[in-house]
Amino acid sequence: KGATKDKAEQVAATESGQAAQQKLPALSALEEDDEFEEFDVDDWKKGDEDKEDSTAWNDNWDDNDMEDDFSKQLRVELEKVSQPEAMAVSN
Amino acid sequence: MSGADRLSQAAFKFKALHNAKNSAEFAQIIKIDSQYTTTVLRDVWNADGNWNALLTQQGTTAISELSLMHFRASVEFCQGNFVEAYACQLSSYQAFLRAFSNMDRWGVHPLLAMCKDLYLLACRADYQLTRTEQPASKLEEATRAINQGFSMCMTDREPLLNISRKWGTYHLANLLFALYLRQKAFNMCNSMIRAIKTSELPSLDQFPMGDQVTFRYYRGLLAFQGEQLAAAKRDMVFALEHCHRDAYRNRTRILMRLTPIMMIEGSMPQSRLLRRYPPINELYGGLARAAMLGDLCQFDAIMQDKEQLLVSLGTYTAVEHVRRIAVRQLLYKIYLIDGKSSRLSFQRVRAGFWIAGLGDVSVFEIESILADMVSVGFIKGYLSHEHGVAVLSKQQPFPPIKSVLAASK
Repeated sequence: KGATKDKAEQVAATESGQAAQQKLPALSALEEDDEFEEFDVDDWKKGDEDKEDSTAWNDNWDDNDMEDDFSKQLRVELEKVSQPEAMAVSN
Repeated sequence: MSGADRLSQAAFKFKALHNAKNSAEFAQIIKIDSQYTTTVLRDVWNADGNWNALLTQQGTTAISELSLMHFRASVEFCQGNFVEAYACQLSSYQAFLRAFSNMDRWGVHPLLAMCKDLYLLACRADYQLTRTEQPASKLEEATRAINQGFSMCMTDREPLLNISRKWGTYHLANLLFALYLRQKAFNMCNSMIRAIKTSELPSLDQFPMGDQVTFRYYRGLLAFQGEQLAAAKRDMVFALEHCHRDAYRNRTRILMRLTPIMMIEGSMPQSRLLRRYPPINELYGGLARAAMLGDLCQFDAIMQDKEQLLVSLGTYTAVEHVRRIAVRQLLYKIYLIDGKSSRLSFQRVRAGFWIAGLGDVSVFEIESILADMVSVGFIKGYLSHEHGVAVLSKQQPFPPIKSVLAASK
């Protein structure tokens, strides 16, 4: 009976665990990133939602102050170059 | 108790649950790896030392057939024979469908459980077949089978709505989206959306939130692919706002498509969003920053670096549209540096582009770029080809980006 039970364990438990798990890496390699995962619950209320992300967008960023490195560099270099109109006039 | 008796006992359990319309328990034990299934199989093996009882028994009713094939599928699954497991699961499922035609809403939960296992096994079967260089068409077959279940839900004639199978429609549609997308069958997705639209279902907002969010995510995804950006935005924003707060990876998936849509409209992701979702920062953060700065050179460099990833997501074209914003920013800075003169010379812009690392851009190209800016409304004014300048409007020659993009809709 002990030997049979071991065999049963081997079939039902070990094989189930091992065989299924051996194949798991293979399946995850097939997983598509676009595929939505199942939610832990089917339904929920507003309290389980989060509006933070939908408001985390910057609409009024285009009146920037030119204090960044890129803008400063651009200003410095551009001011070194004489204005073409000025050159044309002086000729 | 012999193995055969144990199996009969199990079949009886399925029958009893079926008669009692015990949706939850039926759905639970029908899973291929359920505790109940494992226990029954262990008992059979303990009693007989082989699977003969399982292999020789015949199912005489839909439920007994379902039960037997389910146990066979589970044995094959435990042994890693996914092709065989899939075949048994399909038989079990088809037996279930015969019974399902007489079930009302209670049958939906078990149907879903079986469909999900069918999907899982089909994927693994195909993987195994591919590995052994055989044709792998189980996923395609499983899709057709699941579609049958889906139809049986959507077209249920049950007059009492609260016990109608219709309540399973969206959950199954969502499973089908995943299957179709895996097979790149976008037209099937769109057909399905149309079929749902024309069927007599309760409105989407009456379904569980999980169904709503998932459906709108997929519908938004397809709209995005079809370049219907306004429709895509509506669905993606809904999905984001109503997605369960703990479903981090799903939220990230939504943002993968929503972020470029927002950027095209001139709304840039705030740093708190980028911090919260490193994958979004990784893909779009640099582009957003470069666009805001007007650092066209950096923008182009990142586009090139991320090209493969963006193309595989289908967001490359969208991000290209954001480039125009970067151009506007650079021009605006040149304008500011030159003291907001109402004449912006092509040569001056050329110098600015050179300094910004874009190399020697021809005057002709500069003029084209400025013409484009004027035509889309980023610059108010007109071009004088003879004088080589853009004559800028006295009032707001560079209108705020968002207002320009909103007006262009």
